[in-house]
Amino acid sequence: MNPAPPDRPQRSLVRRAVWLVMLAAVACATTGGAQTNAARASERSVKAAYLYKFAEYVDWPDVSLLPAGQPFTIGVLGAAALADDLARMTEDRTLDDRVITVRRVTPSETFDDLDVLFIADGERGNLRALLSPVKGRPILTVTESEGALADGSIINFTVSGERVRFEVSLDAAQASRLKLSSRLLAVAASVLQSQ
Amino acid sequence: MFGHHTSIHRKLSYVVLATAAFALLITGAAMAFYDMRTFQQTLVDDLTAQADILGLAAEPALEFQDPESAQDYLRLLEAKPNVVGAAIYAANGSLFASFAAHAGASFPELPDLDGYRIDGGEIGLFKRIATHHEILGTVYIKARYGIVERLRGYVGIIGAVMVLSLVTAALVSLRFQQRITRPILAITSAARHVVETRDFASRAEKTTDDEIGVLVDAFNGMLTEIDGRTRTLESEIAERKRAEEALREGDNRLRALNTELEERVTARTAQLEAANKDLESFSYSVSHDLRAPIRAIRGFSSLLIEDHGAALDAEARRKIGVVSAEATRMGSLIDDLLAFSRLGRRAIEPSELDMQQLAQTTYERLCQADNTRVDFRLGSLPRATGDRGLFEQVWVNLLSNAIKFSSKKESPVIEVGGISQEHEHVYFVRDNGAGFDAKYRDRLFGVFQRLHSDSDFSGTGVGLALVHRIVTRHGGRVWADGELGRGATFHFTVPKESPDGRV
Repeated sequence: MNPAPPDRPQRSLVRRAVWLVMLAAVACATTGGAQTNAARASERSVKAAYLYKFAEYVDWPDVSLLPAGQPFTIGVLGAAALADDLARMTEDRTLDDRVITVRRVTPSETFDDLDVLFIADGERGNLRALLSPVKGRPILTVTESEGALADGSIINFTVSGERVRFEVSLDAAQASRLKLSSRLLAVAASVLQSQ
Repeated sequence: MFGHHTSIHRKLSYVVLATAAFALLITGAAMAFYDMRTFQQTLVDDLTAQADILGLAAEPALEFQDPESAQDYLRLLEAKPNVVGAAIYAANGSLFASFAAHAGASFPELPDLDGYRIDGGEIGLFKRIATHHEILGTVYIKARYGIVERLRGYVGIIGAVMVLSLVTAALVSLRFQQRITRPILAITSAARHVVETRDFASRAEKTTDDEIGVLVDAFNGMLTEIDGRTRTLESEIAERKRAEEALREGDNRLRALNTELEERVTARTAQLEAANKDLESFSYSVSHDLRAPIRAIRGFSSLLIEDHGAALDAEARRKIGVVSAEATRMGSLIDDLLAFSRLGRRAIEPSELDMQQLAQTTYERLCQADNTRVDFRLGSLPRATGDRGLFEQVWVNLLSNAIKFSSKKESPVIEVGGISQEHEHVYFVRDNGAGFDAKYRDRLFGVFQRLHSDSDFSGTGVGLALVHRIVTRHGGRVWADGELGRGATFHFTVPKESPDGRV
């Protein structure tokens, strides 16, 4: 190797490092916004998929008493995009030979025909009020607000880093006479159980 | 397989052990083969079951994106010592969770289709995780495929079993073999006893009723037969020996007689030879001693004529001439006799003879002495081997005879010829002279035998006897053909092989 002048390489290395840092910062800044949008979309669709998949690990009481042809109904409160995603996903799917229907619901409804009720983060303030009438009924309530389990929700989505996870309240499930599969509990971020 | 001298006991052991060894070996190999196949199938089944369980357990982890819980499930495989590692791939093919029993375990980058692959000492198995409507991912389990170790272990076990079995078999066969070998050995020792002692009266003991018992019976039967035959043979041999002895005795007597006879012949021959020698020396000395008085007679008769011829009348002179001529004849007679008797003492000195030249020169010499003119026809004569001096005498005698006996013919013809036969040369001298009466032919070659009166043809009667003696001493023959007044032919032969030269 040819001996180079002692000063110049170091100075050029420093200069290159500075350039790299600046470039990285710009890249982060530009992709950051885009990623936020993309991440938001992906989070939404993941949640939609989970909503539908939860059903596989949950046993509803008195399913055998249901009249034939009764669809499996998922109600979505306050998350139109998610409802659309979910509807698209479950288009030609069935659950225990039941057609899956996705319906947007309003707070004024009684939720009588619902099997699953998803309440978006937009209703965070009304959660307790929205959940209290459903409590004790065989409806799987799923929320996405911090501390929602305390308000009576059975499953609550959490986001750690970029991963969508969920926490489970067994007490609430028991109150609703829903049996949650241990396999589901195994993948839950945390399981709330009073006893 | 066995040496010829291996005992039957050892051979039986070999048979038993070889049979056992082969049976065990084949059984072991079959078992090992079956076990290897089963082992692989079992391993695959086991891994498949584990993959199924893992897949089922990992379903929610995959569905709810929880690698940690999947990892927990995978970690359960630690309880399986043969599992090297395991992994779960998400539906999109990315590695979702993995577990390595040892550091450095690697996993395929992408999941493969369901199935297993054996690579070196490891087996890798993929299993799809699917619910009834979607594929969630793939389970991969990698385990040690310890078939070589297992095989080695198997071989070890088979080897141990074989050694144990063979030892047992050897012991068992040792025990049972004695039942077979003891009767056989009994026969063998009986046979050896018979061979060594020639005691055909001994018998082998029969202990069993099986084939060996039959063998013993047959052996004893044969011994009886041999015993009988041996007796017959021995008596025959004795008889023959006696006869031979008698013959030999006769032979000896004959030989003694022969020897005696030979001795007698030798003695007689010696006596005869001595007598012959005495006779020869006698005739020699007589002839020699006779010469002196003859010479005196001749000398004094010629002196008488020279000194007193004038004083004597014609009659006296004639008579003295007769005395001188007779004395001369007596001299030549004695010379011939001396030559004849000398012939018996002289050894033959054989050499290559040109018979043709010999005959020619002899004839020329005789013609110079005699002045007769004869038609001499000499054919080509084969060469012969013999004593030059003696054969010269043969030719002298035969040719002079021919000249002499044909001298009274108007045109005498003498023919000489020869021919070579297989073993001898034959020569002849033929003349057209006086000939002889065929009935006297045998007397021709005796000493002093004369067929013509001395007044007709002079001669001593020794010449042909000399010829006969010389030719026979050379191993040849002499004979003559002739007719009175029509000439005679004398033949003699000389063998091609030189004889030993004795009379």
